[in-house]
Amino acid sequence: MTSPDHITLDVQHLTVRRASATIISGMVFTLAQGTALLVTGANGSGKTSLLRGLAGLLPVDQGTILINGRPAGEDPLTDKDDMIYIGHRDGLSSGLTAAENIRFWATCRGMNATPDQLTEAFDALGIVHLMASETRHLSEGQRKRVGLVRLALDHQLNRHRATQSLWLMDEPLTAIDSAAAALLARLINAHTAAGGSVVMTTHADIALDRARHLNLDTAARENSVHSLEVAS
Amino acid sequence: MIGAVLAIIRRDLTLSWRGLSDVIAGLSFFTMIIALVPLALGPDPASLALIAPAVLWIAALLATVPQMERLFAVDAAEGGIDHLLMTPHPLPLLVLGKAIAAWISIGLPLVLASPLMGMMLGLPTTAITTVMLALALGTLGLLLLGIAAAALVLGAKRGGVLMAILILPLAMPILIFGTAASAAAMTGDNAATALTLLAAITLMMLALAPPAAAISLRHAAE
Repeated sequence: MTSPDHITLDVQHLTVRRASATIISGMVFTLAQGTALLVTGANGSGKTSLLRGLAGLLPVDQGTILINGRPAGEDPLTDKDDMIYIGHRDGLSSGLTAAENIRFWATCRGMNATPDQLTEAFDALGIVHLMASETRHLSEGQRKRVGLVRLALDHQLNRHRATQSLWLMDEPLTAIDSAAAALLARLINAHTAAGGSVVMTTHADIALDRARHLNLDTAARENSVHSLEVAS
Repeated sequence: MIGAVLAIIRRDLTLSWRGLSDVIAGLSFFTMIIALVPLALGPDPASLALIAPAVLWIAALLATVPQMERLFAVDAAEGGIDHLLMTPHPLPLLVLGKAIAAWISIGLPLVLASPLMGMMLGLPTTAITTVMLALALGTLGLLLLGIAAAALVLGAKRGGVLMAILILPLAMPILIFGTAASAAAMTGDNAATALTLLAAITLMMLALAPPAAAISLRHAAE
Protein backbone atom coordinates (compact mmCIF):
# COMPACT_ATOMS: atom_id res chain seq x y z
CA MET A 1 0.00 0.00 0.00
CA THR A 2 1.03 3.56 -0.54
CA SER A 3 1.37 5.99 2.33
CA PRO A 4 -1.54 8.41 2.90
CA ASP A 5 0.33 11.41 1.59
CA HIS A 6 0.60 9.75 -1.79
CA ILE A 7 -3.15 9.39 -2.05
CA THR A 8 -4.78 12.17 -4.05
CA LEU A 9 -8.33 11.01 -3.52
CA ASP A 10 -9.69 8.87 -0.74
CA VAL A 11 -13.41 8.30 -1.15
CA GLN A 12 -15.22 6.46 1.65
CA HIS A 13 -18.85 5.35 1.52
CA LEU A 14 -19.80 8.18 -0.77
CA THR A 15 -23.52 8.72 -1.31
CA VAL A 16 -24.77 11.38 -3.68
CA ARG A 17 -28.45 12.17 -4.14
CA ARG A 18 -29.93 14.33 -6.78
CA ALA A 19 -33.55 15.46 -6.50
CA SER A 20 -34.25 12.72 -3.92
CA ALA A 21 -32.96 9.93 -6.22
CA THR A 22 -29.85 8.18 -4.95
CA ILE A 23 -27.34 8.29 -7.78
CA ILE A 24 -24.28 6.93 -6.03
CA SER A 25 -24.41 4.99 -2.82
CA GLY A 26 -21.64 3.66 -0.61
CA MET A 27 -18.85 4.14 -3.14
CA VAL A 28 -15.35 3.40 -1.88
CA PHE A 29 -12.17 4.03 -3.81
CA THR A 30 -8.76 5.58 -3.49
CA LEU A 31 -6.66 7.16 -6.17
CA ALA A 32 -2.90 7.32 -5.83
CA GLN A 33 -0.88 10.28 -6.95
CA GLY A 34 0.15 9.96 -10.58
CA THR A 35 -2.80 7.83 -11.65
CA ALA A 36 -5.64 8.37 -14.05
CA LEU A 37 -9.05 6.98 -13.20
CA LEU A 38 -11.33 6.21 -16.11
CA VAL A 39 -14.94 6.19 -15.01
CA THR A 40 -17.26 4.33 -17.35
CA GLY A 41 -20.91 3.41 -17.13
CA ALA A 42 -24.22 3.65 -18.93
CA ASN A 43 -25.99 6.97 -19.40
CA GLY A 44 -27.47 8.01 -16.09
CA SER A 45 -25.21 5.75 -14.05
CA GLY A 46 -23.92 8.74 -12.10
CA LYS A 47 -20.64 9.61 -13.83
CA THR A 48 -21.32 13.33 -13.91
CA SER A 49 -22.73 13.30 -10.37
CA LEU A 50 -19.59 11.55 -9.14
CA LEU A 51 -17.36 14.15 -10.79
CA ARG A 52 -19.43 17.06 -9.54
CA GLY A 53 -19.47 15.53 -6.07
CA LEU A 54 -15.68 15.28 -6.13
CA ALA A 55 -15.43 18.86 -7.40
CA GLY A 56 -17.63 20.09 -4.55
CA LEU A 57 -20.27 21.34 -6.96
CA LEU A 58 -22.80 18.78 -5.74
CA PRO A 59 -23.33 18.26 -1.99
CA VAL A 60 -22.33 14.87 -0.66
CA ASP A 61 -25.05 13.16 1.34
CA GLN A 62 -22.95 10.65 3.20
CA GLY A 63 -19.38 9.53 3.30
CA THR A 64 -16.12 11.39 3.16
CA ILE A 65 -13.81 12.57 0.44
CA LEU A 66 -10.19 13.25 1.28
CA ILE A 67 -8.29 15.38 -1.21
CA ASN A 68 -4.54 15.13 -0.67
CA GLY A 69 -5.34 13.90 2.85
CA ARG A 70 -7.59 16.86 3.65
CA PRO A 71 -11.35 16.43 4.12
CA ALA A 72 -13.09 18.02 1.15
CA GLY A 73 -15.15 21.07 2.02
CA GLU A 74 -13.10 21.94 5.09
CA ASP A 75 -11.18 24.53 3.14
CA PRO A 76 -13.10 24.96 -0.13
CA LEU A 77 -10.71 27.50 -1.62
CA THR A 78 -7.71 25.17 -1.27
CA ASP A 79 -9.82 22.33 -2.69
CA LYS A 80 -10.57 24.46 -5.73
CA ASP A 81 -6.94 25.44 -6.01
CA ASP A 82 -6.00 21.76 -6.04
CA MET A 83 -8.30 20.72 -8.86
CA ILE A 84 -9.38 21.69 -12.31
CA TYR A 85 -12.86 20.79 -13.44
CA ILE A 86 -13.59 20.52 -17.14
CA GLY A 87 -17.31 20.00 -17.44
CA HIS A 88 -19.67 18.93 -20.17
CA ARG A 89 -20.07 22.48 -21.36
CA ASP A 90 -16.77 24.12 -22.14
CA GLY A 91 -17.30 27.29 -20.11
CA LEU A 92 -15.95 29.45 -22.92
CA SER A 93 -17.53 32.79 -23.58
CA SER A 94 -18.72 33.08 -27.20
CA GLY A 95 -17.84 36.76 -27.36
CA LEU A 96 -14.17 36.29 -26.51
CA THR A 97 -11.40 34.78 -28.59
CA ALA A 98 -10.02 31.39 -27.63
CA ALA A 99 -6.84 32.95 -26.22
CA GLU A 100 -8.80 35.57 -24.24
CA ASN A 101 -10.95 32.85 -22.71
CA ILE A 102 -7.96 30.82 -21.58
CA ARG A 103 -6.08 33.87 -20.32
CA PHE A 104 -9.16 34.94 -18.31
CA TRP A 105 -9.41 31.50 -16.76
CA ALA A 106 -5.70 31.46 -15.92
CA THR A 107 -5.81 34.93 -14.33
CA CYS A 108 -8.75 33.87 -12.16
CA ARG A 109 -6.61 31.00 -10.88
CA GLY A 110 -3.66 33.27 -10.26
CA MET A 111 -1.64 31.79 -13.12
CA ASN A 112 0.17 34.44 -15.08
CA ALA A 113 0.94 33.04 -18.48
CA THR A 114 3.20 34.87 -20.88
CA PRO A 115 2.06 35.02 -24.53
CA ASP A 116 4.70 32.38 -25.36
CA GLN A 117 3.46 30.04 -22.65
CA LEU A 118 -0.09 30.53 -23.87
CA THR A 119 0.93 29.69 -27.43
CA GLU A 120 2.76 26.61 -26.19
CA ALA A 121 -0.34 25.44 -24.32
CA PHE A 122 -2.49 25.86 -27.45
CA ASP A 123 0.20 23.99 -29.37
CA ALA A 124 -0.16 21.02 -26.98
CA LEU A 125 -3.70 20.60 -28.33
CA GLY A 126 -2.64 21.43 -31.89
CA ILE A 127 -4.78 24.55 -32.22
CA VAL A 128 -2.40 27.52 -32.28
CA HIS A 129 -4.24 28.69 -35.41
CA LEU A 130 -7.47 29.09 -33.43
CA MET A 131 -6.06 31.36 -30.73
CA ALA A 132 -7.34 34.60 -32.25
CA SER A 133 -10.68 33.18 -33.40
CA GLU A 134 -13.81 34.29 -31.64
CA THR A 135 -15.19 31.28 -29.84
CA ARG A 136 -18.64 31.72 -31.41
CA HIS A 137 -17.17 30.81 -34.82
CA LEU A 138 -15.64 27.53 -33.62
CA SER A 139 -17.11 24.08 -34.10
CA GLU A 140 -18.06 22.01 -31.08
CA GLY A 141 -14.95 19.89 -31.33
CA GLN A 142 -12.76 22.96 -31.64
CA ARG A 143 -14.38 24.53 -28.59
CA LYS A 144 -13.82 21.33 -26.66
CA ARG A 145 -10.15 21.43 -27.61
CA VAL A 146 -9.88 25.06 -26.54
CA GLY A 147 -11.41 24.08 -23.19
CA LEU A 148 -8.73 21.42 -22.75
CA VAL A 149 -5.97 23.99 -23.30
CA ARG A 150 -6.54 24.88 -19.63
CA LEU A 151 -5.03 21.54 -18.68
CA ALA A 152 -2.05 22.04 -20.94
CA LEU A 153 -1.44 25.44 -19.38
CA ASP A 154 -1.74 24.02 -15.86
CA HIS A 155 0.72 21.27 -16.71
CA GLN A 156 3.12 23.70 -18.28
CA LEU A 157 3.11 26.26 -15.47
CA ASN A 158 2.66 24.02 -12.45
CA ARG A 159 4.45 20.78 -13.28
CA HIS A 160 7.24 21.54 -10.83
CA ARG A 161 4.94 22.30 -7.95
CA ALA A 162 5.03 19.95 -4.96
CA THR A 163 1.30 19.22 -5.16
CA GLN A 164 0.08 18.57 -8.66
CA SER A 165 -3.49 19.36 -9.45
CA LEU A 166 -6.27 16.85 -9.80
CA TRP A 167 -7.93 17.02 -13.20
CA LEU A 168 -11.63 16.24 -13.26
CA MET A 169 -12.97 15.82 -16.78
CA ASP A 170 -16.51 15.06 -17.84
CA GLU A 171 -16.42 13.17 -21.14
CA PRO A 172 -13.57 15.15 -22.69
CA LEU A 173 -13.49 12.80 -25.67
CA THR A 174 -16.95 13.67 -26.97
CA ALA A 175 -16.88 15.69 -30.19
CA ILE A 176 -13.09 15.68 -30.55
CA ASP A 177 -11.32 13.80 -33.35
CA SER A 178 -8.81 10.98 -32.92
CA ALA A 179 -5.84 13.30 -33.39
CA ALA A 180 -7.06 15.52 -30.56
CA ALA A 181 -7.76 12.44 -28.42
CA ALA A 182 -4.16 11.32 -28.94
CA LEU A 183 -2.90 14.76 -27.91
CA LEU A 184 -5.11 14.66 -24.82
CA ALA A 185 -3.78 11.19 -23.93
CA ARG A 186 -0.24 12.52 -24.26
CA LEU A 187 -1.08 15.45 -22.01
CA ILE A 188 -2.67 13.20 -19.38
CA ASN A 189 0.34 10.87 -19.47
CA ALA A 190 2.69 13.83 -18.97
CA HIS A 191 0.55 15.03 -16.06
CA THR A 192 0.45 11.67 -14.30
CA ALA A 193 4.18 11.20 -14.94
CA ALA A 194 4.76 14.49 -13.11
CA GLY A 195 2.72 13.19 -10.17
CA GLY A 196 -0.67 14.65 -11.06
CA SER A 197 -3.91 12.72 -10.93
CA VAL A 198 -6.87 12.53 -13.25
CA VAL A 199 -10.47 11.42 -12.96
CA MET A 200 -12.31 11.34 -16.25
CA THR A 201 -15.59 9.92 -17.43
CA THR A 202 -15.67 8.47 -20.89
CA HIS A 203 -17.54 6.25 -23.31
CA ALA A 204 -14.66 5.99 -25.75
CA ASP A 205 -11.37 4.14 -25.40
CA ILE A 206 -8.27 6.05 -24.53
CA ALA A 207 -4.84 4.53 -24.05
CA LEU A 208 -3.24 5.91 -20.91
CA ASP A 209 -0.04 4.88 -19.16
CA ARG A 210 -1.10 4.78 -15.54
CA ALA A 211 -4.81 4.16 -15.76
CA ARG A 212 -7.29 2.48 -13.44
CA HIS A 213 -10.88 1.72 -14.34
CA LEU A 214 -14.08 2.25 -12.45
CA ASN A 215 -17.26 0.92 -14.00
CA LEU A 216 -20.30 2.38 -12.32
CA ASP A 217 -22.61 -0.31 -13.75
CA THR A 218 -20.65 -3.13 -12.10
CA ALA A 219 -20.17 -1.00 -9.00
CA ALA A 220 -23.94 -0.78 -8.69
CA ARG A 221 -24.36 -4.53 -9.17
CA GLU A 222 -21.81 -5.36 -6.49
CA ASN A 223 -24.12 -3.94 -3.86
CA SER A 224 -23.00 -0.41 -4.60
CA VAL A 225 -19.59 -0.85 -3.05
CA HIS A 226 -16.60 -0.57 -5.21
CA SER A 227 -13.05 -0.71 -4.04
CA LEU A 228 -10.26 0.19 -6.30
CA GLU A 229 -6.80 -1.16 -6.02
CA VAL A 230 -4.17 1.47 -6.38
CA ALA A 231 -0.50 1.39 -7.05
CA SER A 232 1.92 4.24 -6.85
CA MET B 1 -7.66 37.62 -5.40
CA ILE B 2 -7.92 41.23 -6.60
CA GLY B 3 -6.41 40.01 -9.87
CA ALA B 4 -9.32 37.63 -10.35
CA VAL B 5 -11.90 40.33 -9.59
CA LEU B 6 -10.23 42.72 -12.02
CA ALA B 7 -10.08 39.95 -14.63
CA ILE B 8 -13.85 39.42 -14.26
CA ILE B 9 -14.56 43.15 -14.59
CA ARG B 10 -12.32 43.36 -17.64
CA ARG B 11 -13.88 40.29 -19.26
CA ASP B 12 -17.47 41.45 -18.72
CA LEU B 13 -16.67 44.93 -19.99
CA THR B 14 -14.98 43.47 -23.08
CA LEU B 15 -18.11 41.40 -23.71
CA SER B 16 -20.36 44.47 -23.23
CA TRP B 17 -18.16 46.50 -25.58
CA ARG B 18 -18.40 43.81 -28.27
CA GLY B 19 -22.13 43.44 -27.73
CA LEU B 20 -22.58 47.19 -27.71
CA SER B 21 -26.09 46.91 -29.17
CA ASP B 22 -27.38 45.76 -25.76
CA VAL B 23 -25.89 48.80 -24.05
CA ILE B 24 -27.29 51.09 -26.73
CA ALA B 25 -30.69 49.41 -26.50
CA GLY B 26 -30.87 50.11 -22.77
CA LEU B 27 -29.80 53.70 -23.26
CA SER B 28 -32.23 54.25 -26.14
CA PHE B 29 -35.06 52.86 -24.06
CA PHE B 30 -34.19 55.32 -21.28
CA THR B 31 -34.06 58.33 -23.60
CA MET B 32 -37.16 57.22 -25.49
CA ILE B 33 -39.35 57.02 -22.38
CA ILE B 34 -38.20 60.49 -21.32
CA ALA B 35 -38.66 61.93 -24.80
CA LEU B 36 -42.23 60.67 -24.89
CA VAL B 37 -43.27 62.50 -21.73
CA PRO B 38 -43.24 66.09 -23.14
CA LEU B 39 -45.14 64.79 -26.16
CA ALA B 40 -47.84 63.26 -24.00
CA LEU B 41 -47.99 65.97 -21.36
CA GLY B 42 -47.50 69.06 -23.49
CA PRO B 43 -44.49 71.38 -23.43
CA ASP B 44 -45.46 73.40 -20.35
CA PRO B 45 -42.12 73.80 -18.49
CA ALA B 46 -43.70 74.12 -15.06
CA SER B 47 -45.65 70.86 -15.18
CA LEU B 48 -42.73 69.04 -16.86
CA ALA B 49 -40.27 70.15 -14.16
CA LEU B 50 -42.74 69.02 -11.52
CA ILE B 51 -42.68 65.41 -12.70
CA ALA B 52 -39.09 65.40 -14.03
CA PRO B 53 -37.50 63.51 -11.07
CA ALA B 54 -40.21 60.84 -11.15
CA VAL B 55 -39.91 60.38 -14.90
CA LEU B 56 -36.10 60.10 -14.76
CA TRP B 57 -36.22 57.46 -12.06
CA ILE B 58 -39.02 55.39 -13.53
CA ALA B 59 -37.23 55.46 -16.88
CA ALA B 60 -34.00 54.37 -15.19
CA LEU B 61 -35.81 51.50 -13.50
CA LEU B 62 -37.53 50.38 -16.71
CA ALA B 63 -34.30 50.60 -18.69
CA THR B 64 -32.17 48.57 -16.27
CA VAL B 65 -34.45 45.78 -15.07
CA PRO B 66 -34.88 44.03 -18.48
CA GLN B 67 -31.09 43.92 -18.88
CA MET B 68 -30.45 42.19 -15.59
CA GLU B 69 -31.64 38.70 -16.45
CA ARG B 70 -28.72 38.04 -18.75
CA LEU B 71 -26.16 38.95 -16.05
CA PHE B 72 -25.82 35.23 -15.32
CA ALA B 73 -28.03 33.57 -17.94
CA VAL B 74 -25.39 33.66 -20.71
CA ASP B 75 -22.66 32.30 -18.45
CA ALA B 76 -25.00 29.58 -17.22
CA ALA B 77 -25.77 28.46 -20.78
CA GLU B 78 -22.08 28.33 -21.68
CA GLY B 79 -20.95 26.56 -18.51
CA GLY B 80 -19.15 29.62 -17.21
CA ILE B 81 -20.87 29.42 -13.81
CA ASP B 82 -19.06 26.14 -13.07
CA HIS B 83 -15.75 27.87 -13.69
CA LEU B 84 -16.77 30.76 -11.47
CA LEU B 85 -17.62 28.24 -8.74
CA MET B 86 -14.30 26.44 -9.22
CA THR B 87 -12.25 29.65 -9.02
CA PRO B 88 -10.18 29.49 -5.83
CA HIS B 89 -11.35 32.86 -4.49
CA PRO B 90 -14.38 33.84 -2.37
CA LEU B 91 -17.43 33.67 -4.63
CA PRO B 92 -19.15 36.84 -3.25
CA LEU B 93 -16.09 38.82 -4.25
CA LEU B 94 -16.21 37.45 -7.81
CA VAL B 95 -19.93 38.28 -7.94
CA LEU B 96 -19.11 41.82 -6.81
CA GLY B 97 -16.76 42.07 -9.77
CA LYS B 98 -19.62 41.12 -12.08
CA ALA B 99 -21.89 43.71 -10.40
CA ILE B 100 -19.31 46.46 -10.88
CA ALA B 101 -18.90 45.58 -14.55
CA ALA B 102 -22.69 45.51 -14.94
CA TRP B 103 -22.99 48.95 -13.37
CA ILE B 104 -20.36 50.38 -15.71
CA SER B 105 -22.10 49.01 -18.80
CA ILE B 106 -25.76 49.43 -17.74
CA GLY B 107 -25.94 52.11 -15.03
CA LEU B 108 -23.19 54.52 -15.97
CA PRO B 109 -24.54 55.29 -19.50
CA LEU B 110 -27.83 56.38 -17.92
CA VAL B 111 -26.02 58.59 -15.40
CA LEU B 112 -24.05 60.22 -18.21
CA ALA B 113 -27.17 60.74 -20.32
CA SER B 114 -29.18 62.21 -17.44
CA PRO B 115 -28.04 65.88 -17.76
CA LEU B 116 -29.35 66.01 -21.31
CA MET B 117 -32.52 64.17 -20.37
CA GLY B 118 -32.99 66.50 -17.40
CA MET B 119 -32.73 69.52 -19.67
CA MET B 120 -35.42 68.05 -21.91
CA LEU B 121 -37.70 67.89 -18.89
CA GLY B 122 -36.86 71.41 -17.80
CA LEU B 123 -34.76 70.38 -14.83
CA PRO B 124 -32.89 73.40 -13.42
CA THR B 125 -29.16 73.22 -14.19
CA THR B 126 -28.36 73.65 -10.49
CA ALA B 127 -30.03 70.31 -9.75
CA ILE B 128 -28.12 68.30 -12.34
CA THR B 129 -25.12 67.33 -10.17
CA THR B 130 -27.39 66.01 -7.43
CA VAL B 131 -29.54 64.12 -9.93
CA MET B 132 -26.46 62.48 -11.44
CA LEU B 133 -25.08 61.54 -8.03
CA ALA B 134 -28.43 60.12 -6.96
CA LEU B 135 -28.75 58.15 -10.21
CA ALA B 136 -25.20 56.81 -9.84
CA LEU B 137 -25.89 55.58 -6.30
CA GLY B 138 -29.35 54.34 -7.17
CA THR B 139 -28.40 52.40 -10.28
CA LEU B 140 -25.52 50.74 -8.37
CA GLY B 141 -28.01 49.64 -5.73
CA LEU B 142 -30.40 48.46 -8.44
CA LEU B 143 -27.74 46.41 -10.20
CA LEU B 144 -26.61 44.79 -6.95
CA LEU B 145 -30.24 43.88 -6.33
CA GLY B 146 -30.43 42.69 -9.93
CA ILE B 147 -27.39 40.46 -9.66
CA ALA B 148 -28.84 38.70 -6.60
CA ALA B 149 -32.16 38.27 -8.43
CA ALA B 150 -30.46 37.08 -11.63
CA ALA B 151 -28.67 34.37 -9.66
CA LEU B 152 -31.90 33.41 -7.93
CA VAL B 153 -33.92 32.94 -11.13
CA LEU B 154 -31.22 30.85 -12.88
CA GLY B 155 -32.87 27.82 -14.38
CA ALA B 156 -36.37 29.25 -13.98
CA LYS B 157 -38.68 29.45 -16.97
CA ARG B 158 -39.70 33.01 -17.86
CA GLY B 159 -36.95 34.34 -15.62
CA GLY B 160 -37.43 37.84 -17.01
CA VAL B 161 -40.96 38.25 -15.63
CA LEU B 162 -39.88 36.71 -12.35
CA MET B 163 -36.96 39.15 -12.19
CA ALA B 164 -39.27 42.16 -12.52
CA ILE B 165 -41.59 40.81 -9.83
CA LEU B 166 -38.61 40.24 -7.52
CA ILE B 167 -36.76 43.48 -8.15
CA LEU B 168 -39.47 46.14 -8.44
CA PRO B 169 -40.87 45.86 -4.88
CA LEU B 170 -37.38 45.76 -3.40
CA ALA B 171 -36.36 48.73 -5.56
CA MET B 172 -39.02 50.96 -3.96
CA PRO B 173 -36.72 52.48 -1.31
CA ILE B 174 -34.20 53.36 -4.03
CA LEU B 175 -36.97 54.97 -6.10
CA ILE B 176 -38.34 56.89 -3.11
CA PHE B 177 -35.05 58.35 -1.90
CA GLY B 178 -33.71 58.81 -5.42
CA THR B 179 -36.70 60.94 -6.44
CA ALA B 180 -36.66 62.70 -3.07
CA ALA B 181 -33.03 63.73 -3.56
CA SER B 182 -33.72 64.92 -7.10
CA ALA B 183 -36.86 66.83 -6.06
CA ALA B 184 -35.05 68.49 -3.17
CA ALA B 185 -32.25 69.60 -5.48
CA MET B 186 -34.82 71.08 -7.87
CA THR B 187 -36.59 73.15 -5.30
CA GLY B 188 -33.28 74.22 -3.79
CA ASP B 189 -33.83 72.27 -0.58
CA ASN B 190 -31.12 70.29 1.09
CA ALA B 191 -30.77 66.97 -0.74
CA ALA B 192 -28.20 65.57 1.68
CA THR B 193 -30.67 63.61 3.82
CA ALA B 194 -32.19 61.76 0.89
CA LEU B 195 -28.76 61.17 -0.66
CA THR B 196 -27.40 59.78 2.60
CA LEU B 197 -30.33 57.38 2.90
CA LEU B 198 -29.87 56.37 -0.73
CA ALA B 199 -26.18 55.72 -0.05
CA ALA B 200 -27.13 53.69 3.02
CA ILE B 201 -29.47 51.48 0.97
CA THR B 202 -26.81 50.98 -1.70
CA LEU B 203 -24.24 50.07 0.96
CA MET B 204 -26.67 47.57 2.41
CA MET B 205 -27.11 46.03 -1.05
CA LEU B 206 -23.32 46.01 -1.41
CA ALA B 207 -23.05 43.94 1.76
CA LEU B 208 -26.02 41.62 1.20
CA ALA B 209 -26.38 41.07 -2.55
CA PRO B 210 -23.03 39.36 -3.37
CA PRO B 211 -23.30 36.68 -0.64
CA ALA B 212 -26.96 36.11 -1.53
CA ALA B 213 -26.06 35.71 -5.20
CA ALA B 214 -23.23 33.34 -4.27
CA ILE B 215 -25.63 31.07 -2.36
CA SER B 216 -28.06 31.04 -5.30
CA LEU B 217 -25.27 30.27 -7.78
CA ARG B 218 -24.04 27.31 -5.71
CA HIS B 219 -27.59 26.06 -5.47
CA ALA B 220 -28.21 26.47 -9.19
CA ALA B 221 -25.12 24.39 -10.00
CA GLU B 222 -26.35 21.35 -8.08
